[in-house]
Amino acid sequence: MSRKLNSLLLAMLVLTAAMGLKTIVTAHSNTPVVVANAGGPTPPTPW
Amino acid sequence: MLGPADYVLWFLTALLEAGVVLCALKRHSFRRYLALNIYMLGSLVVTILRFWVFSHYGFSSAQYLYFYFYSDALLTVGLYFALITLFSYVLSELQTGRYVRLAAIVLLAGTAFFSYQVIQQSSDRMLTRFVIELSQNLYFVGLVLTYLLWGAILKLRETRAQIIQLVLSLGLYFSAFAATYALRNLYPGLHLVWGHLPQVIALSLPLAWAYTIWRIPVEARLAPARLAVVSR
Repeated sequence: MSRKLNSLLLAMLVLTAAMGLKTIVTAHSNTPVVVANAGGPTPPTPW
Repeated sequence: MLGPADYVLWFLTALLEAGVVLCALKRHSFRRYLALNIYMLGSLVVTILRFWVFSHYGFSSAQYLYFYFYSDALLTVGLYFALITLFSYVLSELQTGRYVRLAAIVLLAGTAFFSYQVIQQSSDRMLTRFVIELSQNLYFVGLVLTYLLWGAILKLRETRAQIIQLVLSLGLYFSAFAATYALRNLYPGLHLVWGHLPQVIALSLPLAWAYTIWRIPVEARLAPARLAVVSR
């Protein structure tokens, strides 16, 4: 049971760290994050 | 309007993605790194389909735009699961497979929930906004997970050279994207650089994976813990 709770805690910590990092990196910006899975030039977002 | 550099990068991406799959087949590593190879095969299919959509409808068309972002989100989820399988490899001796899967599903669900919370105030194109937001958030989750995995490799003294190279290439890939985005906000005027740099970075992943599978034998061993120790 404690290992399951540890897994959940770790998942939440990773999510918090990732969203915190994203907030820092994307602060003061309205441009979308660069995405480049596979080939092809990135089109502008539809809004 | 696309320039010659865009077409060259597009073609190179497809070539390298096909190269990874062929190297894996040739070295009998396709099943060993099944999730990674399926992701790379999916990337190849998407690269070809994107070119087909582009050539039929054009770069500025709604078809290309939606196909690009929806396929990117699917591939990001695929890359996320490929990363999770690397966790399974590294933590295999600890018998933690089911806990890794549980954490991975909770993390993916949490990221989807967070993404929905961000876009729920939007009045139009909610699904598209959600897909793009989820894709972006999963990039940052992938970045944190890769560093966590590198920590686990050092802590557990993982020595399999192929696993170490695959994790390092993912770390480089995710970190380069985050750095590019941060720098783009600092220097937004460099359109030529920011237009092509993501595609160049995207080349690094299939290039590193193809090199790893082709040149590094399965039984090769490294000692990454030595990297963390200051020599006297």
